[in-house]
Amino acid sequence: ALNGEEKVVIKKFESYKRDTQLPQNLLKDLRVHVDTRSQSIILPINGRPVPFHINTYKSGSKTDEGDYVYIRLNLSSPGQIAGSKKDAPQVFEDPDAQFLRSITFRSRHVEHMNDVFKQIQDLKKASTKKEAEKKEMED
Amino acid sequence: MSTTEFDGIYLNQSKAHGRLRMVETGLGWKAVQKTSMGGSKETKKDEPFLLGKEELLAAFWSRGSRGFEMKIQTKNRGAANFDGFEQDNLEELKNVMKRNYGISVEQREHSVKGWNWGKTDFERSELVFSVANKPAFEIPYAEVANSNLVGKNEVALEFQQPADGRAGDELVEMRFYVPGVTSVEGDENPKKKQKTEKEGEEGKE
Repeated sequence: ALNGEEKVVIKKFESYKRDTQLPQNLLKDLRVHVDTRSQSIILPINGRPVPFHINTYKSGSKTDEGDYVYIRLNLSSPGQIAGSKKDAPQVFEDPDAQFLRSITFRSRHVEHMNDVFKQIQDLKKASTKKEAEKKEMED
Repeated sequence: MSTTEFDGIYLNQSKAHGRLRMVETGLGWKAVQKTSMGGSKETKKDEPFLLGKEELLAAFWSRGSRGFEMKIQTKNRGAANFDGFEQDNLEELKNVMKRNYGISVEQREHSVKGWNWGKTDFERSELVFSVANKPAFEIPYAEVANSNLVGKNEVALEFQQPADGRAGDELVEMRFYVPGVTSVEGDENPKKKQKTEKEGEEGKE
């Protein structure tokens, strides 16, 4: 940093500015979707499309159980054992903030879920790569 | 007595769309299923969903998954979500809700920032997670099958596996990080807070 002090910079990111920007054609089936353009995962939570920017996504897992495929998405939050404290996002902005830390969905649409899970991994990879490149440029 | 009807409306994530019918004494929704022949026929086993005028408390208009959504807050029956409206329907809905039931339809914008941090509020029939002072999503209490304190700062909510007839992927579980030192609204304890701060300072020195 310029002033020599170690200061965590709040990385501002935003999936959408207004709800009219949501990819409405994707949402009608109330399934999990990925919108690459906004770098976001869109989750159907009680009928409402809720975007989560890829920067909030930490890791995920996918398991098959009978007719269903389960995906669990872990989102970044403070106080996690893995990852340094620096990774803890935006806590300083509001110490009372609560975080959605993980969310699990299940679906009978195995192919769709496999596809979505791959899209999420790809999006994360691309975003991590971009971040690393940006950092290199800055140094 | 005038009747207002809207077609292509989904009730609470229903797979089938239906018709919302509003009369002075209340409103009703009934699924319509199209046969493969192209004609429409109403399913016999599906009972209509009815809400009497006296049950209605408040109404909210926002963007939904199938189009636009009107959420109706009721006295005893939780919230009912009607999704699938066109933007143009708002004016008519506003008029009918006002004229028939004396209820104003409030427009409510949701957060689409994509952040996973915010605040939870316990409202009448649902938990509301707000991001930057706008609701991001709601969880009706009726959907929660179980809740657990999993870790020191972690709360898990398990959900009812929805009955058939619901569309889309099913929400199974959510975990929230809840910071340890939270002052409960309206129950501020300045004395305790002060003490903690003081202790913290002492610790630093």
